[in-house]
Amino acid sequence: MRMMEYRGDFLFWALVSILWTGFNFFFFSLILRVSDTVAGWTADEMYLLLGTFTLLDAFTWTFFYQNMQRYTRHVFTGSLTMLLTKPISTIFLLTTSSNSFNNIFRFLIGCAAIVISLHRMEITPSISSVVLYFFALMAAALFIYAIWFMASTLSFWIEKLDNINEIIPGLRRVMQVPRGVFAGAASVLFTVLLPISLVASVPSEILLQKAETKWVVWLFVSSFLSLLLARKFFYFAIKRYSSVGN
Amino acid sequence: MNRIAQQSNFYSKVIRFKFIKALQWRTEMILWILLDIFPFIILLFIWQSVLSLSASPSISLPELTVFYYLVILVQGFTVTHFEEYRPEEIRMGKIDFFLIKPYSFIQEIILNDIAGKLLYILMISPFLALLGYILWHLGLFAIPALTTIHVLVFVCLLLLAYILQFCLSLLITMTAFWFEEAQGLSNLKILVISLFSGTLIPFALLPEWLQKVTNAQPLKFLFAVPIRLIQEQALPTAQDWSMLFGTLAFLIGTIFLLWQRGIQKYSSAGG
Amino acid sequence: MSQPVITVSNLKKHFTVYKKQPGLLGSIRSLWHREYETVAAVDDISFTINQGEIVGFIGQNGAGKTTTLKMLSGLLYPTSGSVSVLGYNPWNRKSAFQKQFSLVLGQKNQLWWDLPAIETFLLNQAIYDIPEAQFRKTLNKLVNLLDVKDSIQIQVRKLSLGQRMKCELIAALLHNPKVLFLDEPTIGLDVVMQKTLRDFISEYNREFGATVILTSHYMDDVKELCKRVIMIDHGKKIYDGLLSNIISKYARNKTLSLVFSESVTKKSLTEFGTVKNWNGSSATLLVSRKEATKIAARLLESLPVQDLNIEEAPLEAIIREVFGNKAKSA
Repeated sequence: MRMMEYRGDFLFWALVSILWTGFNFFFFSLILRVSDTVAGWTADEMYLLLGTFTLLDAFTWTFFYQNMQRYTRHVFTGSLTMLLTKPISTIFLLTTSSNSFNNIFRFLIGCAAIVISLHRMEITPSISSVVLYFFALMAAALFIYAIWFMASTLSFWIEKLDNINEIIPGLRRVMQVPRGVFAGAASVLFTVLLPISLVASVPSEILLQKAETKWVVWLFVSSFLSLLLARKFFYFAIKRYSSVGN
Repeated sequence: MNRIAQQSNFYSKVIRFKFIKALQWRTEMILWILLDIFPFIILLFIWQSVLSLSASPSISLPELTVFYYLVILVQGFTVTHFEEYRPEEIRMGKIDFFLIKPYSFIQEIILNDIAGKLLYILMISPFLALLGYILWHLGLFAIPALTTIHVLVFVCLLLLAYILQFCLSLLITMTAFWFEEAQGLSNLKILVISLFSGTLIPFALLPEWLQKVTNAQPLKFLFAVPIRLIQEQALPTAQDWSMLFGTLAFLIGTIFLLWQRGIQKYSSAGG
Repeated sequence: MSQPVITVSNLKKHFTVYKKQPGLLGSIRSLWHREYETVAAVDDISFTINQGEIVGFIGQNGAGKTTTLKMLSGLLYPTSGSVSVLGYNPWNRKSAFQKQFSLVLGQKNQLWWDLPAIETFLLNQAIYDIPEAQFRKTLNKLVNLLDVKDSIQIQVRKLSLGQRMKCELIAALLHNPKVLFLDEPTIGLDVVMQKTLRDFISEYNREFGATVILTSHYMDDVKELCKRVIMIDHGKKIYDGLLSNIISKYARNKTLSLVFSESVTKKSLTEFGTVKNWNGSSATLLVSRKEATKIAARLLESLPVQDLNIEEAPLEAIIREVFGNKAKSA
């Protein structure tokens, strides 16, 4: 709520995030002028995908960015020890202590893009599709959280890297396009090993009723696995941290 | 003559100092370079999938590859973003020492950025060379034959594009004397430049209205003009040169004015 | 014959402060209606300082000391009045002037945080255009005097506060300034370090004849370094003269410390003055300054006094009382 008080500040950043979202849609519209499809996805389908990505991005930006920044700063400055003495589960404390509400508008734009695209394509998804869609989004968000957390945990092994928090945002392009864009080795990398190309693609496919079961399953499974891995990695890092005598 | 020798001695010493300081950030720089190159590679994948399904593509993948490669090159060589942190120095009253020493804040910004830019160019060049080699090996590189004039003009344009970027960043920094959100303007600057400087897709692929708008304003000198010089051998016209120099003169004049006024305000209110 | 180096005439600095109501409504309201308040940080101050003097500025927080120093450095433009330092008008910011003075702000660093101090020194050498031989000589001398040989190669952010302040001083003195403005240079330092810095400043003043203005909260700084003090309160100069004279002008009380050969009741002491401490065999009395000797004589006559000491009230207490009085009469 503190963010709300600086009203001008809030509106300004809301404007900036709206412009960036619009800009992203505009960029893909330029690509779609050259060819009407991207990896077999029509323009409307692409905008739905972008809408899904925008939802995800607004969510992760609101809840993850600042917290991950704070987390890495704690590690770099050595103040993590203070948090380690608190009784609440350390991971939870590290990553949910502040939120930013500026991204509400992006969230709304994402929703609008999805609804408009569905309307234009005259698709009415079934209730079960919509429910599965939301679950898929949650799985996607958790997956992004897990890999972001693991990337941030690398800070335990580095003395200083101020832009470490930009690594996961740097992967956004992969999340904005259908998974069919990638072929061969790239496909193996981005859909199987590090399935970031699934996070917006699979939920969108669900709504568009062209989802493949194996990829839906893989999204949920890899999201679960990555959370486990993140947790293990964190405790491994903590052990090393305390043993070095911070 | 002695004064010139003394001044250049001074500048070289300060740049050396700033260069050493910039070296502290070499790991971050490498990460930034990688974070710039990665989306570029992804973009190539996207375009490849777009073009392969298109019946009669209006452009080839090699041409697109060269375009985006040039975007990274021009960006690495010319972009400035000190307006992301300098405004805070003004707002937090950290420029005090520059007001009492024979070394002004503007000098500090210029020399610091030049040193940082030199280091960045040094670091990005091997990456660009390697990337270019790989792309050429994959048959994705299609650079047309260029004369010496073209290369010289290109280098000139890069230098002027850097000065233009620098002026825009400095202009935003100056607003910090009056506005709290000067740093937010940095975001808007990047947005506007991305939209109107011809960095999104090759000029020929832009919708007509955007082509007209891009041509009509000086941001085109940041990317569109130097890139088209290489890809289409299109030398800037006399009109282009006058627009460029006119814009630079206007910006520099405005910055000077804002600086005078800003310092006056700062020194009256106490930072 | 000492030349005046700093001349200040009728210096005034008024700040316009915008008042804003707290909260969301306040922010909205302030968009079209702003309330002002004028604060007189420096209110008609005049003084002259001669070459080689070390002058102390004393005053409470917000009294106007730092503001005055900032105007003398050219950092701040005055509302009215004139200043001349080394013959220059500070806010013209002529480089010839800037190369001859230094400002040390105890709460702000000029050293670059992520680099070793030596790098800032080298940068200053370039900025102040100090010839190599002279630079090396001065640097060595300062480094030895302050004993920081091992510290200057370490990143500033890894140094202790004391080492940092020492390096900060070196950075300020590399160009052998004729005038030195020190604003709270010993703040946050331990007692030993404070003494080290004081000795150093004193030594520097002796050797180079530099003119120094010092502001400090620590009375020891002022007592040991400054023969002359200027007291500033609410922007006005309320005293300008020798430190020793403050005592005779403002001190109202003296302290009598007594040791008795036989036990003495508290009651028997109250007729002589205010009893500050008493435990039967010793006591401390607060008596009026004028009567101190007389009261001492009477005590020696009427009570079994074994030992008697007459002391001045501590300087801090005197000054605190001066400001306290001003507040009351304001």
